[in-house]
Amino acid sequence: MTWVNAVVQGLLLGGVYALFACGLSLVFGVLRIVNLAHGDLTVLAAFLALVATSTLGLNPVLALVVVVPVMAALGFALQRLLLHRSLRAGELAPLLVTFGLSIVLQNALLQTFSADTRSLPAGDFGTAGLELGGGIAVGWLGLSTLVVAVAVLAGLQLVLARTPIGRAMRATSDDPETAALMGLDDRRVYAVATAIALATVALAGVFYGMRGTFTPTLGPQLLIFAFEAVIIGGLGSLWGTLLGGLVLGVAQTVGAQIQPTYGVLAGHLVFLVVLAARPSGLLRREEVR
Amino acid sequence: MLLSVRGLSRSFGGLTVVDDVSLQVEEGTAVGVVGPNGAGKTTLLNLLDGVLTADAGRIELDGRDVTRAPAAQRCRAGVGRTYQTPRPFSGMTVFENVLVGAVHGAGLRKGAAQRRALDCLGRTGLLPRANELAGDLRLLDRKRLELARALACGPRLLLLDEIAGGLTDAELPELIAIVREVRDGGTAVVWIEHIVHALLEVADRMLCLAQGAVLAEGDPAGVLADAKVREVYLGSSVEGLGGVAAVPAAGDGLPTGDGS
Repeated sequence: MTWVNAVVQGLLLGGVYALFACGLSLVFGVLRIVNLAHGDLTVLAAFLALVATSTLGLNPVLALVVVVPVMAALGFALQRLLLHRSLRAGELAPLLVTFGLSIVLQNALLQTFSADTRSLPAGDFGTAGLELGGGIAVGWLGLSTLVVAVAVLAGLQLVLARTPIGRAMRATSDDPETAALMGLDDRRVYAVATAIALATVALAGVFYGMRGTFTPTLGPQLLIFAFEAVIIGGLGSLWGTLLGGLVLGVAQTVGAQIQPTYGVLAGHLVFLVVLAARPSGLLRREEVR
Repeated sequence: MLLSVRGLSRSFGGLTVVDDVSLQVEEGTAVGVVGPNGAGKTTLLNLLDGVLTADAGRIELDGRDVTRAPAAQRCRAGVGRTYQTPRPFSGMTVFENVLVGAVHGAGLRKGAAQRRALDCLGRTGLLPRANELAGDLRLLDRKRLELARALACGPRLLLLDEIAGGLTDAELPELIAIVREVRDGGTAVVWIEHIVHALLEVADRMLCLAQGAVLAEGDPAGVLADAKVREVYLGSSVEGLGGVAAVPAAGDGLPTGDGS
């Protein structure tokens, strides 16, 4: 039963990873940018939620009403003012720019919030859960994180497949020059994609902040988990990202069940095995392209 | 005058690819553009649709200066374009490809955009392929898709880059008929083509480029009979056009670009 529990908890943890990885997957799929500041932006969202809860007295879930639009606006501006210029300077430039942004964000957060460990006060929502019998309990927070992750990824998939802006993103991602000849302004399309990505980053940051603790320098670690989820699932595929997150979560909890210190290591090992055996990921990338 | 181009030039490094080109195209007329490979024909189209920006000169669309306007803006202002080598959005269906043009190029909404897309697919004979992935199409259908997509944007000026190239003689008449219909519908057409007899079926006027500059312009038969034009083609012996030496001024029995 403990193994079943490990898998169940792994799936819940995987929901967090899938949510983390969603924005990374989208930005890569549409803009072809590997956003090295992704983890730091997630931490930034968690700190924004912290400010919203402490100054406005909001519950962290309600703080999403503030944090999601703020992060989306930040994404739009980031793409327009920074990333778009770097895109024109070759493939290396966006990597360097986002790497620099990562450092700037970490230090700005350290300067503003100190290195203290924080968490978002989730109250009963963070501790209560559902008893499934046989010693298996499912936390409300974990369950809702997984549900949100599935909803966000499925929703994004739907947007990409069925809506004008989704088709605009796929067309621009496929061939920006031809897309421009069809009346699509790549600056705007990319900015909307980045705004959506950072809205999901806001969700990830807030749910992570309620679940565990965070510090200004946590970003790179989150980035690695997000990367692993994206690569396991397959670059550019949103369903793959969901699957990758779940696989990573289960690998970590099952690994920790074998030996408590093996959790993260087991996740990395599964990632390496997938990379070696199926470099294009478990699901091929056809959804985004 | 729908399109008015004056003194257009563009260089790459030290090489002037388009050199002081002027061109006027009226609504509902077609201008054929011929010239040897490397004459700057495709670059001229790239300057007209905004993929490239001119170093000098002026492009007016319906009296409005669009010389510096980006490609997306020119599309919405009424410039449509097809590529010599079709570039469909290969991960999308044929219908979605055309729908992108109808929604973002022509600014149509839901139902109207879908009707426009279906109409353009119907005009180009692509309806049976509407739900296939564009990447799976064979060449003729890819060419049709290029045209359907450009038409979905509702162009007032349609730029065609060797849309007949690579097609068999049996496939040509249908394509020619579509282009003629578009022109007769009031759209201005600028058509680059090596298959001269296809061009002659539609072109009201002809422009011959050589080394980026206008070598001859005017009545199609007259341009083809021009000694300088014939010399340029003979001298370069491009793509089976050696037969141009035998071009009759009347314009029938002309050689085809595929050497047949």
